[in-house]
Amino acid sequence: MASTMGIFIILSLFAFYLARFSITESRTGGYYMTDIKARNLAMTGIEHAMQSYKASRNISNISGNFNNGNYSVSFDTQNNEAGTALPHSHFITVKSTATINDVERNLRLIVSSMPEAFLFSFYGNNSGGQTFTESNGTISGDMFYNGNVESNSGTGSGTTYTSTGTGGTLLSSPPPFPTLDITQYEALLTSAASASGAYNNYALDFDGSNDYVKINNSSDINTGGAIHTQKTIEAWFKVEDKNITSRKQTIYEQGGTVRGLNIYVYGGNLYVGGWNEPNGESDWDPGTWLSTNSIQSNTWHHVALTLNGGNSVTNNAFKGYLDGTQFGTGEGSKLWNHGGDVSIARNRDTKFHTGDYNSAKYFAGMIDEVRLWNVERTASQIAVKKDTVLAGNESGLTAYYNFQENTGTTANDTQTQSNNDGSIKNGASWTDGPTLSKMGSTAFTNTTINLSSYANSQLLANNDLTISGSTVNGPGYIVVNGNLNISSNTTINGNIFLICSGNITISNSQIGTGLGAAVVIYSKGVADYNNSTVYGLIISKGNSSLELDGSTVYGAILNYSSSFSLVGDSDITGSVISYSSVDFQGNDASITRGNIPTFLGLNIGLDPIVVPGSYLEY
Amino acid sequence: MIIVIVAVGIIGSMAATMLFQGADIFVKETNRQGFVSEARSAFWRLMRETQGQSSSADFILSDQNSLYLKNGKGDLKDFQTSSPDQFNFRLGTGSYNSLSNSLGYSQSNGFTFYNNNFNVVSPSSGGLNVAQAKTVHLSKLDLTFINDMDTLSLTSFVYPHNFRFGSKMSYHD
Repeated sequence: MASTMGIFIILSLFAFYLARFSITESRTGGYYMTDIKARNLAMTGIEHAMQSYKASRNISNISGNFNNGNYSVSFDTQNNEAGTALPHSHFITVKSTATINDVERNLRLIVSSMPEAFLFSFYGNNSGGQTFTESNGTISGDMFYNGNVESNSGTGSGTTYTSTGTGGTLLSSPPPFPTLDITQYEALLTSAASASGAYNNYALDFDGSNDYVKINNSSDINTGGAIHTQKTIEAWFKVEDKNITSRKQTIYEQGGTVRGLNIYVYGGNLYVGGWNEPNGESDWDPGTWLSTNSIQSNTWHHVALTLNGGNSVTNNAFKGYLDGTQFGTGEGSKLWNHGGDVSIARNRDTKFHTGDYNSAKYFAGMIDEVRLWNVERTASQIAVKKDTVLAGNESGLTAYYNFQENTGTTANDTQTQSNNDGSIKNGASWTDGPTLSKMGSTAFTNTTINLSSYANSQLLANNDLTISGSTVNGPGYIVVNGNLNISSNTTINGNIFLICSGNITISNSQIGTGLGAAVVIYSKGVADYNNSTVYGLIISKGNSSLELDGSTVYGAILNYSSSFSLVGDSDITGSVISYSSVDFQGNDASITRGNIPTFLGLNIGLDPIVVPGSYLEY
Repeated sequence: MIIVIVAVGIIGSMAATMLFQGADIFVKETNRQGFVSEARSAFWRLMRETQGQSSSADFILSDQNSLYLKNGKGDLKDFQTSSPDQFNFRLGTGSYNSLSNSLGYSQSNGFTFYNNNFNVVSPSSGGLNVAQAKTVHLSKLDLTFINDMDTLSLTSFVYPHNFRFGSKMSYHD
């Protein structure tokens, strides 16, 4: 019995030893198979991430799992996998980690958000074969030119020329000229070309209870001396109920009981009024009120009053217009300077045709395009311009409220001579304004344009567009089927596309505010950048000309134009890719290899690339 | 009683012999699997590192018995086959580590290099020079491992992953 047990124990120990030996060997032999699987899984993660990034430069983390393992991919815009800073601002490290059981594999790629040619300070793919002869200006950093380069035409280390150029190393396999996918740009231009109106017109909606716009007393509206001989007040309005008789629904007022002007609706009629009572002045007392019953409730109408008076009351000095047609005329005089409030959609203490001047008479409905002039506009001018937005610099225009802010509590005065911004009180809300169908051009002057207030964040203009002295907030698109003119200290903030089918002129303005808040500009006509600073990417797609004059660009230029000039002290820090030579017309002009934005989250029509030699298993 | 003791002795010795033979077969087979695993693991490491080659220029000095590599972060690595049976790996400029001591040196063709026309690039004396190395498009790895009566030949063409993304140039840095 004992011997049997002994044999059994010995056999059991032996069997256990064999089993352990077998398992150990099998596990060791199986590790490399798991390693292969984990590595393939990590590569799957890299592929997944690359496709995600390529579409719109999306750098959100990615993960997935299959084959009993999982992978996770992350992006690093600053450093490589070891924490070392990347050599270029538009490089990104893509790191993939895959785990199967206790086996982990790590891979990384480095991706350039721009095509390879953007690694040069200047890459000239000149198809005409002309010689690069520029001796003015400097080019610093690696340069490639598909043609001849004369001596001293480029400076800086690593300058690389092809053909008979001197001073560099022959580049045997230069990268290709970047391929630009213009699909989205052309689609947006098509949308702009079919836009019904170039101007998404906004207005203010007043509740009739307490909403109004307050405009402070101003020397160029009411308190100044010797400026009130001629006046024109214009506005678009849409009254909810024209027949209300419980109050005068005041569209506009300035002044008080002694001197003033007003426009209001009462009992089915539209009134325009004016007065200047003091005997020692003109004795325009009680004043003149012109009226018409040709208005409809819930219908947009244009109203205007004009005044052309002297020191004494004369006939036909005061006129009223409805929808561009004069509906009345009466006696009037000039206005002596006067205090009191200036309001839109409220009466505080101006006088009505009934002689009363009860306060707090509010307007229920919508008002837009309020224009105050210190000149008498003619009937023709009123009729022609009532449907057209103003540029803001028209002679005699002293205040202009187009209510294009579409947000906030400030009604900007968008004329250029002075500033009389209004305060929106008690919650008057933003709404759509009348269709201004006769616009031959669109202009934004001294205003703030929030692209988020436009459908799909796209400001579409089916004609020329001018932006002057304004601030544009993104993200979004400004698409112009015509010419685009940006001037007078305009600021275009980051993540905005400027797309223009015609000529683009940018002067004295700031386009983009940093490499992290860059702008993409795509134009097909003549492109002129004067005394401006640009952060981003300039694409000059037309076969015309591109000129920088006294301007600075931080980022990249992709030029298809046959003429490309740097005038004066124009400096480009980043990269220039051009189908033609660059003509340095200023000794101080320079092109220097520098940082380029990454354009994260944006489709700019240029594919990112994997940096050769960057694949690494670690 | 004696008969029983003799019978138990005979049966016991037979059982012991059978156990010994079974165990011997098991151990040999397991060792065989170990040999196969070692060869495959060594060859897989060779393939993996070659696939991580950063630039063709980094094949410089490589020849039939030596394969020089540099990965994407600049780490130097090289593989070496030597007589009679060594297959070694070295990281940087340190000493070599053995990946296998079962290499059939004379039976292995070692490392072969091809240009983009699939013509063999024959290393000059001392290994591939710079000009030759830059033309390398593809490498062939051909090793034979021998253990007792077992022979395992492993062969693979390797086109490094980095080569798919273009040639690494100075302006990429």
